[in-house]
Amino acid sequence: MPRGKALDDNRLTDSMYYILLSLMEPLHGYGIKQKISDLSNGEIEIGPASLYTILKKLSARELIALVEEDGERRKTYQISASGRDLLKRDINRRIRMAEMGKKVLLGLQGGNDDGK
Amino acid sequence: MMESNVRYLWNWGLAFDEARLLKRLEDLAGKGWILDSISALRYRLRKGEPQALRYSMDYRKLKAGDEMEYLTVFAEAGWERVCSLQGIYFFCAAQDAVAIHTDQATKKEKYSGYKRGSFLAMVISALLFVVLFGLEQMNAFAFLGRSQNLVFPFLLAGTGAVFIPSCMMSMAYAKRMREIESEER
Repeated sequence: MPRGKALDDNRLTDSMYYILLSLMEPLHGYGIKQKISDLSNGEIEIGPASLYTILKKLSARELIALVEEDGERRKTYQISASGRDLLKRDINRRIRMAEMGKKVLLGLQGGNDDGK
Repeated sequence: MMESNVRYLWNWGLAFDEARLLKRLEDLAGKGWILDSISALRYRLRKGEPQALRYSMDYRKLKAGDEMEYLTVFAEAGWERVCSLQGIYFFCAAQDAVAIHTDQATKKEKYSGYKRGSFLAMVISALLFVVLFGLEQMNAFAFLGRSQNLVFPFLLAGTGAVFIPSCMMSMAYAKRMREIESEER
């Protein structure tokens, strides 16, 4: 049952954000995990239970779509048009968050002579 | 007769001792006792080579045809299915494997279905208990004649047998979910 509070407010959790970022190209489970690892220089890892839960949830919301089925074993997903819209909005939200932090960080560094 | 290469652990209910059980299975695997299968009552372990394994358990209600994909996602992450029983899946992996849940939201969701289910069972059995008791007070079981002395306690005991464990499970799952909420990721 797709019950995600964050998704109800059109916000992505961090894991959903990484998964949608990786699905700009068609990928299956392991490919998604690899892509996220590559994009984040190995900093972000997604466990299989989280990955599977989120894939099912994003599918149910039609934010991603199944592109091909390699039998029942492997399913390949790609971001949908509505997924792109939501992702764009979420990237912008995160940029605004980071910029807010940046301003404060500059202030912190200005007040501190030992700051870089 | 006891087979010497097989031993069992009692299943005390995963709602209550999931973490302890997984730790115990890991310790036993280190001594060469490897989880083999699960039943409602107990876990079966067989003697093998000592292995440094990590165990995890996932609750998952899958639609027909989805199991292969689910298991493939786990296998590709290094988690092999050991055994499963009605929506309960046990996996093992090498010790350096990434945890199966890396996300607080999905980890909480793992328990939410069972929490709801056990809560519902608790409420229904409590209502049933009250209704039965009320009917008894109103002498509604009189038509049973003398056998009501047998039937009534039996029915009450039945609702109690559902109420008590479902109440305990419901509390255990709620506690687990609160713990996850307070965990720092």
